[in-house]
Amino acid sequence: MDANKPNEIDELFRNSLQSLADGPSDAVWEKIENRLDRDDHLFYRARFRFLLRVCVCLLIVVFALGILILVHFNYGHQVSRMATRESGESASGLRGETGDNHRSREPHSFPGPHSSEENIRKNKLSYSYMVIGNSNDLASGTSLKLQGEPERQAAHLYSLPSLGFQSSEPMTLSFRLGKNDPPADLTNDLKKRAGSGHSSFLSRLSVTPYFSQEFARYNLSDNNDSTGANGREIEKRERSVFSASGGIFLGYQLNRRWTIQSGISYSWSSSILDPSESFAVKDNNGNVQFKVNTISGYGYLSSSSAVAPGVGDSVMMDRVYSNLHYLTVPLIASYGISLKKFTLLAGAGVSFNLLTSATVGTRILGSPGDQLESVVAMHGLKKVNYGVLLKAELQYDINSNWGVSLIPCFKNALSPMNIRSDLATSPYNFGIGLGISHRF
Amino acid sequence: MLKKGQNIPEDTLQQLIKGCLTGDRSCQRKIYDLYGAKMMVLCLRYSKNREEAEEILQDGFLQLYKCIGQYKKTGSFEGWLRKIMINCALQRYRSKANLFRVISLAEHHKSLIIEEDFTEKLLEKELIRLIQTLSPVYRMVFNLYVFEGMKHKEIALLLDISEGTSKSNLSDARVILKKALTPNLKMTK
Repeated sequence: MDANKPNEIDELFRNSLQSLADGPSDAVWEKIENRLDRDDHLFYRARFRFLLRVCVCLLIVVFALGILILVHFNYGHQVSRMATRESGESASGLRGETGDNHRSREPHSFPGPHSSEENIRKNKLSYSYMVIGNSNDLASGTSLKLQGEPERQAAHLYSLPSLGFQSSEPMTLSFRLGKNDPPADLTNDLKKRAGSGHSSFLSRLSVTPYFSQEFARYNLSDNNDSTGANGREIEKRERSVFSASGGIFLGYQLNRRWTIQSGISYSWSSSILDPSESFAVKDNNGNVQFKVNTISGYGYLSSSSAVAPGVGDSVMMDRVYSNLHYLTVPLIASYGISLKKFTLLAGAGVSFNLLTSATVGTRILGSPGDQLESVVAMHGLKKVNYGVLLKAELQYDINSNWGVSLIPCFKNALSPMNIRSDLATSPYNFGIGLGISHRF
Repeated sequence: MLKKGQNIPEDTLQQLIKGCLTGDRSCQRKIYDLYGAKMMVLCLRYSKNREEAEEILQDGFLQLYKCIGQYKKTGSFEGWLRKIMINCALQRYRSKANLFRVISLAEHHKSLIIEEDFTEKLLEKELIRLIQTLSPVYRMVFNLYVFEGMKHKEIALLLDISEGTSKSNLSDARVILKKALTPNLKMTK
């Protein structure tokens, strides 16, 4: 029979059915209406989520700006306070004005004319709460010129850091020490003290290596309505078996309360899917392979059979194991409260997650080589995704340098982890970790 | 008041489409009432039973409401809606692997012979039932060729089969349908 020619069967069916109408049952519209309502709800929820994310990002930015402003304000405030305190001294000491009126203005600022070197050093300590100065000034030849008795000069020099000797004007630093006068090398000492800015930086740093056990969950939404049911089916069959992360937190204490934390961590999670049927489809290269779907993504498994599968062929898969590995860089602003030996740091921030490896592994049951498990790369995952992070750190100080930390943490993805998939999967997890803190 | 199957004035249709674009549920319902019955027959032809047809219809209307903004006013709205329904049917066909299962002609004849409620008069609904008894791939090829007027080349592309397979499937489908119809036609004479 020539299929291209008009055919009586074709005509019969065409003529009979062309104008036929058959009303669907009432349940169809009810289902459509329910789906439309659900879609509307999802749309508004997605919009709400988007706005929430924007708000969180704005809060983080405002928060970070606030900290910066606060830090700069404190810095400026301290500089001006010191400048005010020492205005008289700079007028007398740095400009060569001698006189006992130092003591009358600032009775504890300078040692008296008969003070010993020890007293001077004691006095120095009393001023060493903050070093303001620029060691480069010294290195580049900026110097101060002091006049007066050697001990007074020394006193001025020791108290210089507290004076805040920043100056844009070139000055000369010279000493006129008497034969019997100490100290050995004041310039070096001054340099050391000016250079103590570095040690100050280090003293604000802390390092916390940690390990955290996590409990991963997923927020799912259907990208494709017609396959939404399949996604839900996968969700039912998949369960997380292990999720953990380990890494190192670097903290920089901005002031008594606020700390900025960052670092790097490696996280991995494994999950299992119950045995199920898998269908052969064309992969990205046009080869026909069996597709294994998971919540996170999908993998293509080739058949060990000599006969290549055709599109739509199905096989029974054993349990499917999926493994995801991420490298994460967090950025957290934390607020600290200290109580005796305990410190509680509560913070919020963002995390940048870089996918390092994603695999699925399973066996095709009933195939010639079904004893062998095939492990293949998982597709449909974003290389980089972002998340928000809430972290608390309860630290117990063993001594001034070491402490142990209990670190509960909550992470929530800001965007789905997968692309070109039937499901949009946004993971969230709660973790509890243990760490050891070291302060320099 | 608009009735099912009635030709809809263009401006009314445009108003309904505008309403659908804003998510107006009453406009969506009117569109459904106007075209639902016609589209149901189309879905019945592409499915193996009424339940599956209703699922396709449901998906099709949801798809329509989602992308109604893409409707170009160059062609008829009904034609455009038909395409959506056919695409939904094809999508379902592609997603189901067992549809490729090949059924022998003898098996087909057996399944047709045991139809007891096949009356002397060939009702239109019975013709649909006949189409539904075809294997999915035969049903797809038969529908696309006979009702949509597609060429074998186009069908082959849509179903991811060769042109020869499409021709062969159509031929087989005709044979099956003819054999199923012949005794009844004789009985009616």
